[in-house]
Amino acid sequence: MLILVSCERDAKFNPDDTGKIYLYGIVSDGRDDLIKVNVSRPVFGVEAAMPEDVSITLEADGNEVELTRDVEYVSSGDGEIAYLVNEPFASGQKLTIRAESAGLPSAEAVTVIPEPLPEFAVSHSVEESYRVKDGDLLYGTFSTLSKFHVVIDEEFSKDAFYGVQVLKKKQIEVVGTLEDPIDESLYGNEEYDNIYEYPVMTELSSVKHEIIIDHNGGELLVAEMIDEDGKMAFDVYVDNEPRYMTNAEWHGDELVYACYEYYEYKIKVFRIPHEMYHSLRSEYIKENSDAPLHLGFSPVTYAYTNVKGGLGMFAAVTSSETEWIDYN
Amino acid sequence: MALSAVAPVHAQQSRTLKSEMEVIHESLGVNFVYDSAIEITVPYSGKPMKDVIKGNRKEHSILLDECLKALFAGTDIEYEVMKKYIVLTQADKRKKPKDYTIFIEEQHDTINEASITAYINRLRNTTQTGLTEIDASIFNKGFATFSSPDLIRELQNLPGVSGGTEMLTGMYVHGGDGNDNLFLLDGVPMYQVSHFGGLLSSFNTDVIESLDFYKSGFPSRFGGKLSSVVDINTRPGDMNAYHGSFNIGLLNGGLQFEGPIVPGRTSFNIALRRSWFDALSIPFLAIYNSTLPYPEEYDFRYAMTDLNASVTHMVKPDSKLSMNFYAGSDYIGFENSVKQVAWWDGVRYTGNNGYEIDVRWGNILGNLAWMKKFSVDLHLNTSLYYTRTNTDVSLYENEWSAGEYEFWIQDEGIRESTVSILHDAGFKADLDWIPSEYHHLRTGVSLVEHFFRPSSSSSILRTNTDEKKNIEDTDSYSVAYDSFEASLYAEDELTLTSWMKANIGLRYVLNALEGNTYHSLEPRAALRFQLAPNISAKMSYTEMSQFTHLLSAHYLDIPMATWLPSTESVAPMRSRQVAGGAYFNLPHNLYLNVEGWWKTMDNLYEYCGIDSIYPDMSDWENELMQGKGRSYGAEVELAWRTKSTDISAYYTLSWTERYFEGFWHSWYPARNDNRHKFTLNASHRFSKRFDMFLAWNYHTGNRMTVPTQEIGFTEYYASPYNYKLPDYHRLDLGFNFRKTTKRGNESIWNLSIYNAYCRMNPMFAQYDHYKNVIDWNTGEYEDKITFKTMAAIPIIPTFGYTLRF
Repeated sequence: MLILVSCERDAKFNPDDTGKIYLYGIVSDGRDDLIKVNVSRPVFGVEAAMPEDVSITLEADGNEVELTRDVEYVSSGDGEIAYLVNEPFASGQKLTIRAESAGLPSAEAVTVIPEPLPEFAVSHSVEESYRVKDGDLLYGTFSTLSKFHVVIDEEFSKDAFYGVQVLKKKQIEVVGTLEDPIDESLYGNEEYDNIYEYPVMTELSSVKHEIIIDHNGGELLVAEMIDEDGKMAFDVYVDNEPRYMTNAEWHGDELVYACYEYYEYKIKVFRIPHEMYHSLRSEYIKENSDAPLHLGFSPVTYAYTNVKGGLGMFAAVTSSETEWIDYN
Repeated sequence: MALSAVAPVHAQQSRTLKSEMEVIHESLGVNFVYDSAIEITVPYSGKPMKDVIKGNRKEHSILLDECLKALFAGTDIEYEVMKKYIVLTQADKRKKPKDYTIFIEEQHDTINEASITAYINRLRNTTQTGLTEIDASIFNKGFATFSSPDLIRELQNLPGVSGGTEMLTGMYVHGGDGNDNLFLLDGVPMYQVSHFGGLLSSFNTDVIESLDFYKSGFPSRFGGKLSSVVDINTRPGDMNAYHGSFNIGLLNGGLQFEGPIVPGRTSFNIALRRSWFDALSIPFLAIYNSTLPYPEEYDFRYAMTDLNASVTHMVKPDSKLSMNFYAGSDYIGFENSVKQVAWWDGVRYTGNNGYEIDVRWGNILGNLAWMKKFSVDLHLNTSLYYTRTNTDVSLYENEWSAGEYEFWIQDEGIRESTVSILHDAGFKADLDWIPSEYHHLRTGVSLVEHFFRPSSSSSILRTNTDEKKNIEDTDSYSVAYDSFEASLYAEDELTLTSWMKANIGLRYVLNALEGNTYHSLEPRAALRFQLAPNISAKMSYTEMSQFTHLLSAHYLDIPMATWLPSTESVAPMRSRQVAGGAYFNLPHNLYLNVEGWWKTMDNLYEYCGIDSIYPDMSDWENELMQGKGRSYGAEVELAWRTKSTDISAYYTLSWTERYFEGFWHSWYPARNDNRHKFTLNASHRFSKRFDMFLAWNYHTGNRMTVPTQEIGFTEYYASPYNYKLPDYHRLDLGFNFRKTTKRGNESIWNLSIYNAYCRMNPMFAQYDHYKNVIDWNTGEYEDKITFKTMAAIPIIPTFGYTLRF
């Protein structure tokens, strides 16, 4: 009955007169780290400034750091521009970014270069990519996954956050003598592997909260940490691509030559600061949530930013990586 | 020691009729009613009342009479005992005190009995800040939402309390979160305090005798929740006569009956309420379904039941056994089915596509209590209790299909159910001792085992085809925790001087769960300064801990929330509160109270997972964001009470904020940060047969989060709770028409009007940004932004009939 008599009315709402400066940057090793700049539009207003109008400065412990406009950066249509940072930083350095533009509130964000990562160990295994319960297939496709189990030599803490990227490099092994030369350019190139969201379904259909973002052209997984004998540990999955034979010639029982392709992997682990974790998680929650968040009956809408006066995220990470390893 | 040495000298010098009346009031639980013309501040030189009472084991009425005779001997004051009130008159005038006696004679009537209690001004005389004492009759003073007076709605009107979403029984006290109120029903904790999704509280006012509501200055005998204590006591059955009441209203009805089992020694009191919304919805939907042009059916049912029962047995005049029981349950069900038909070889095959949602929730609690009075000064209360709250959600979906070109039939159904239960089994013992007129000691121990069963889920996939007959695939998942909580407290109500009282206490709590143990030491202190005969000032400092957490993905008071324990990674919540105030009895029957508070809350938790009706339990500790809160403000109460009119006005100015590092980089307003709140209550008795009640509520709008910025297609929120809903205001009216039947019973017709001027108060707002929609006037595509508020509660008139017999 109450639904029948409910009514809606236009309401006045003008919380922001102007847009806000949007900054997004993850400073890692100081090599071509991107800082993206944009200007948001108030929902009931008009765009007051363009990203080009925003002047930004970056300081490391009070000393200005040179920023170079990345003219090759192409935004996805919203006018975003980017600057490059090409200066290595040391752990403990405090980075302050400030942005200003006429008619907009100033924006400022601070981050501290995290401590270096301690040693970590990686083990590898192959798992089925589907789950079986009592003999019946519940969900999934028939394939296998490479699981990298990472254990970091650091005491477990719920408040420490780590990310991981998996790089792979296709290699070839030739047994015997090939008649035709190999096109070397097809091999030895580094690329980021796609991270598999696994297990995406449990037996009761609850989604695991794994956050995957794009970082420096590759997928970066913000891992869910496991307490393994008091140490920090996590798993990351990629499609399993076992060593396989691409070409071979047999003379009777004798193998004259054979070509094998396989991948070598490198695991790159990042130490992620709180502000980056909260920002990424808020984006994840927002993207995966439905209407009730808008209805005012849900807990606070998760909208974290560490850019005071503006929007976005500015964070610094440290990373460490393994050697190239052939897990086959 | 120094205090007790000094105090008697002082007391001897200042003993008056009034001070001795207060001793009687506090020791024997009676109130004095008198006209302001009666002089009670005259010196009293007789035997001190404390000496008369101390160690005296006579029956209550005999002892009371002895005290009164001694007290008023040689004065021109006469007294008359009327139940628990002592009415004083001057011998020469032979006239009862103006304005009040009539109320006592009709104390089952709808007039505010609390005003009588207020005459001796217990608020001014108690040591605690933030305390409101309410008698049963205040619940029946004229207004009844959906035909039942509502206890929580009364508390929502008080200053310092935010009501949250309209119509729901949310209670956000001094910036609390709503799940941090300790509800005690006869001393037993109650976890789910509402029916009907929050529209009606679980407390049946037909059996409630009194309620003490603490917002600050918590005595150390209470603990376990952060923000408030609601201590509700039900009425024991009448030991000498049978009587009861029957009421019927818009959505529910009730029956209450009490009387002696063994006259003078054993009594019972029982009350039952049941809604009949389902009785209305079944025929309504049957008619609706018959009008549908396709073979589809809808079914919706809601039912609420609760039962209060108690048995009281006087073992001896100084020994009482009582057994109290409460059971409340709600059921809501929705079903939709579409009939499917297929023909093959001339044979008709049928099945259904559809779904069902069933939700059941409720409480069961009971206790066995023994009260032993060793003397007038020494009481022992012990209680064994059990309380349980449960929620059972079941979803069923069925899909039936048949082949079109070859014969096959598949009938598949999946049922998913989730059960969430919390059981508490406990024992507590409280000792109450008044060793002298300068000390009132209370000490006690409580042992509770909490059995948390937050999620026990199962799913059954049933497949029925030509090849597989009723194949079932089941799956299950459960989470369980058992935690032990022990608490020990001691407090002393100290009379330091004739103008200064203190309540000093300490509470220690141990909470253990799977090898993880928390210890909590909670100091409590309250001071009262009697600045003048009609003016007092108070201060208090309290610390409270809460070891249980309510995990909910929404703010609605619906049962899709789960109680969980403090674990190694989820710490107990903690609050610290300072409060102070001044309390005045002004001339011309005016009463003024002013209070202020500052409160901090640590280890607050908010759900931060993906929004869903039921939070995922498999990883709940990581779905909680830890933060802190603070609240501060001031409350003003002004009342004017005469024989026929009672007007109270409450105003609150407050700020409530949260800081969750993971949500936002600085403090932000809380959802119920209502800057101003004003309530006006008025009742007037026109005659013995007609009285009316009026309440006007106003508060600054609740807050919600809406997007304020966008880049491309992505929306951003400038800060949490950045939008304030329009201010809320509402007028309620109540009218009682009374009549005495030929058999001497009282019948009352009640007309209540909720939201009398039909203010459509927004419950939430909705922002939508439509990209590239066509404007039918111009034919051009454009962006369209809408921002609308939604309101659902119009004027609601309600009729109710009550018969008291």
